[in-house]
Amino acid sequence: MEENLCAVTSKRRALYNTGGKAKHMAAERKDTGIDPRVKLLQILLFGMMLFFLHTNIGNSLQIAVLIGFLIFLRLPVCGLRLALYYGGLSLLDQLLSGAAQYKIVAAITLIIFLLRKFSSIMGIYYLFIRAMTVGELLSALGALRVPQKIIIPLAVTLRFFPTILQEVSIIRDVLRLRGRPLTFLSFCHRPMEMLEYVFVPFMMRCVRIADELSAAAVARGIENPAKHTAMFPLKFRWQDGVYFTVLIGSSAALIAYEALL
Amino acid sequence: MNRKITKKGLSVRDLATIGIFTAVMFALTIITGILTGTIPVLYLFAPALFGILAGPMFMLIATKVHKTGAIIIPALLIGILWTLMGGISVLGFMGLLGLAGELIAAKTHYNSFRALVIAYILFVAGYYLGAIGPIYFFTDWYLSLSESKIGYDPAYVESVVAAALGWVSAVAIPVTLIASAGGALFGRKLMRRHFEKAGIV
Repeated sequence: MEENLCAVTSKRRALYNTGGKAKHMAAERKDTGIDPRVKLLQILLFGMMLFFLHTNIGNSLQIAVLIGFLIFLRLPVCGLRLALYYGGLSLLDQLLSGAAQYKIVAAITLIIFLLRKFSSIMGIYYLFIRAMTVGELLSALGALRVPQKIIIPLAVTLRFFPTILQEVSIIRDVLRLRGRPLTFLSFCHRPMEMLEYVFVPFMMRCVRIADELSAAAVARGIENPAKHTAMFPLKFRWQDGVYFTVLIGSSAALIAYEALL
Repeated sequence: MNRKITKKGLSVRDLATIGIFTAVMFALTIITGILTGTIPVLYLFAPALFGILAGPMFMLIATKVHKTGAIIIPALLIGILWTLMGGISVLGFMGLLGLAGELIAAKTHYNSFRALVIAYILFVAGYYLGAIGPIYFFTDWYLSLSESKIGYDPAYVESVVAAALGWVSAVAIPVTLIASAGGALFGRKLMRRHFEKAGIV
């Protein structure tokens, strides 16, 4: 069922992500092929670590570990982007800390502090969006016994994101044709009216898509109570074991480092 | 809106409806976050903006699905998506307050608009606590950290932060509550004017 849907989704997603280099993406994915359940655990672990790391050095080390994982997962560009973002913020913080007696500078350093604090979210986002396909995510959740009532809407939700932009652009075209273009000015002029002009057709289309999607899913046997098969069955291999050990080891080391300080 | 609640559980159609409108609501949390996130003080008003915009989606799910799960499942899904992006607190608060909203709405069989408004306010409040809550947490920490840094006068920094967050959140919380009630009203207006006539809900 949704695994089937998802095979299509992952292909399409690869197309969206790389602008047509789907083949390349698939080849790229094959060499790591880390079990998505381990990646899911990694995302949770790194997200929770935000609350444990209290020092600047611990924070920087976490970013370094994240970059290491991103490079291992064949996402060097994402790793570089994260490094530049974090490095830039740190540099700015260093430059501004000399002039902290001014009110405005103190306020700006707070902003920079918060941005820097949350910058590991950027790495987590890459892990979630770029290192995992929707199909992998769903089969991982299925293996973790997440109920179908959550998995089916989640599959729909994840598949629907690209469609939202398409639908909105269609509605913008129609509004322009009808002489009510959606611009910043027209929105400021009559906000509630413009919201209504956008929301009503958009939601009508969404309702229709929901009907069509559910008809298609039922036709493919989504309501079959038997166990569904997956195109790429989950397997925990020795590589996953190594990855898992490194993950747990590095997280434990980071937290231990913080606790000892 | 006054339909009898059906005994049967959620159909695939209901789940697809929930999925699609949850996608829209989640996109709205991101869009409002980006729109307001450029200025941290404004970011406290992101849930209020979300509250206005997501009202129609929430009302459509509640009136179209009209069964147990219509409120808690979107709340959990938004929480799960936020968790996957590192915001586990959203899952906790939205799950908890979503469940409370679900119980209130289920008591009136999803027919009472007033119950749905309360459920929606709880829903937005859950998002506020989950998304904004950590900022307070990290700000305290920033204060404790700034004491050890050279060139920072802790009392002074504290006053800046307190003015920025204390005063603004005193405004942001009531604004969020009012905005979510307004969003629910906006949603009902759209339902009555368009969707009931079209026979969708």
